[in-house]
Amino acid sequence: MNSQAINILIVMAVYFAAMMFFLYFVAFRMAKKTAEDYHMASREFKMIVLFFTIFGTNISAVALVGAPGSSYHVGWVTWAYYVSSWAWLSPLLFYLIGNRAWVLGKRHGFMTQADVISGRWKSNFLSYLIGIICLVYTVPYVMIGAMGGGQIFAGLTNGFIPYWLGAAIIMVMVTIYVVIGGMRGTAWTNVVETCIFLLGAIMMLVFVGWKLGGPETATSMIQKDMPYLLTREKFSILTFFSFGFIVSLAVPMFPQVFIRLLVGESRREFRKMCIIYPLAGLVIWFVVCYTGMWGHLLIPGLAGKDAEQIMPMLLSRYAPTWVSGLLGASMLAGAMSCMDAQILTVSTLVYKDFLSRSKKGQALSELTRVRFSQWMIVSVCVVAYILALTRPMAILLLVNWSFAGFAALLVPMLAALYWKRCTKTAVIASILVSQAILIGVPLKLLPASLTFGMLPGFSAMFFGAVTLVVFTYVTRPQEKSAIEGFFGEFAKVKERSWR
Amino acid sequence: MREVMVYVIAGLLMIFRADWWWWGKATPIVLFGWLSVAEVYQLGIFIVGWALVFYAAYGVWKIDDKDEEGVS
Repeated sequence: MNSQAINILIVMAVYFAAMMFFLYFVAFRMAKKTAEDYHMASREFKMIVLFFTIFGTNISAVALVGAPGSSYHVGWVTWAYYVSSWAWLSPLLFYLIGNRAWVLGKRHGFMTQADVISGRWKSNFLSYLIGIICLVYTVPYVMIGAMGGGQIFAGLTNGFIPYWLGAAIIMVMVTIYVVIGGMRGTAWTNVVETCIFLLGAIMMLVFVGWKLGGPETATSMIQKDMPYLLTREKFSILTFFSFGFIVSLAVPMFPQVFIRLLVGESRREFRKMCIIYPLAGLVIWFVVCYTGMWGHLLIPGLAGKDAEQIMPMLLSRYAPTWVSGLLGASMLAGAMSCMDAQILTVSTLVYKDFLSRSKKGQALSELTRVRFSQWMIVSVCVVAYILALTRPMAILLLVNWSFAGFAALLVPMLAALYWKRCTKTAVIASILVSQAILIGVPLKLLPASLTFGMLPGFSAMFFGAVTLVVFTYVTRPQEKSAIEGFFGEFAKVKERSWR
Repeated sequence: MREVMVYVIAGLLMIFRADWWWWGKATPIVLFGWLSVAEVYQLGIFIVGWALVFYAAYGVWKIDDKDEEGVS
């Protein structure tokens, strides 16, 4: 066995043991055996845990693998792609949605988007529709997490630990602590994982910069040999423009993020989280994208998707073995921080949007509900692992659509929380129209001209919003008492700013 | 009204972040010997956006201790 592989395995084993020990003291001993505690940690997180669990769920394989790979090919524009939009616009939307959704969650036990939207119109159909959409887009993401873990392991050990084994190691580790810890466990592991990843990524950038003789030298070399990495000529401005909107609007509607918007102890803690989120976003994207771009100077000639291995390749070629073991573990920690949240979220969606709406589900004891959720997690992990081994293209397409699919759900969410005149029929029509465009355009069932030359998600949101407005005014408004009952919830809490 | 202004400014920032006027062109390096004008511009958009988050959280979304009392 090569020393690099042994080193990585030892670091991961120590890391896992430390994590379980840590979780025992901070999470498991505090847990109550109720479904509310298992899925929402009794909604008692303060700012630090709230921030790390929300931010950690955003650090996915996209940040670890996709962004450095993209920067390798197109340059620094990749960080601007996210930082000058998502990093600040998503927290603004967290505030817009989370402020009201948090009140409803605290009062009625709402956990998911389906809870909030169907709660406005008391509609099980809406709950099932939104629940299915969220599941269809989230499950493939779990698979992508497993694939990312397998790729990172293979890259760090130069293929000694094969892809299938790397993915299996990651899945087993995550399954164990998510099953045992639930929301409390995943949130606390997010704190540790995100800190490790942030520190590891910064160290990696410093290391690569030092190898090149400093940032100024690296920039001069790029200006001379690969100026296109600075001019952004290989990147479409229309994609830059439209994806900025889509990614920013999608993030608050990712089920794993939305659920976490409701787990804060108070809105005061939630507000603090919104303030520090943009800074962390700036740091992480700046670091991984510069590592990818400068990595091009150290390891030139990677084509296409091969560039996504740039970070583990830099470590395995240039870092001392013990350093690459530690930094490699930090990359895996980053991958796990997103995957664990998604796995728990799938369980929460099935439990809350489907099981708890059936009479049988409502009759179950709290302990049985927790056990059901735990078995659900194991099942999701097994399915995701099998899918990760087969790497089906259809599933990968779903992941590409998922950003836009979640962004389109923002329209009905805002309507449910803010628009009194809006009707149930309009919301259902809006959801169906936007999802039909998202699926119909890439499959050529609908004309490409519907996208106005931008990403399909942009037009899906536009036509979804238009449908919502038109159907709202051609259908009968909701009963006045129902509207007052729902919006009265917000009036009970003093919301000076909303008046 | 102040809240509407926050989202109008956010919309404008999202439009002007697409800096088509120097897209695809080399811009001079102006900061620390490695950040170009275009990068500094994108950083500027981020900073204004972050300031908006601050303003929304502390200027628009005011919470005092009694605000939380209505929620159980």
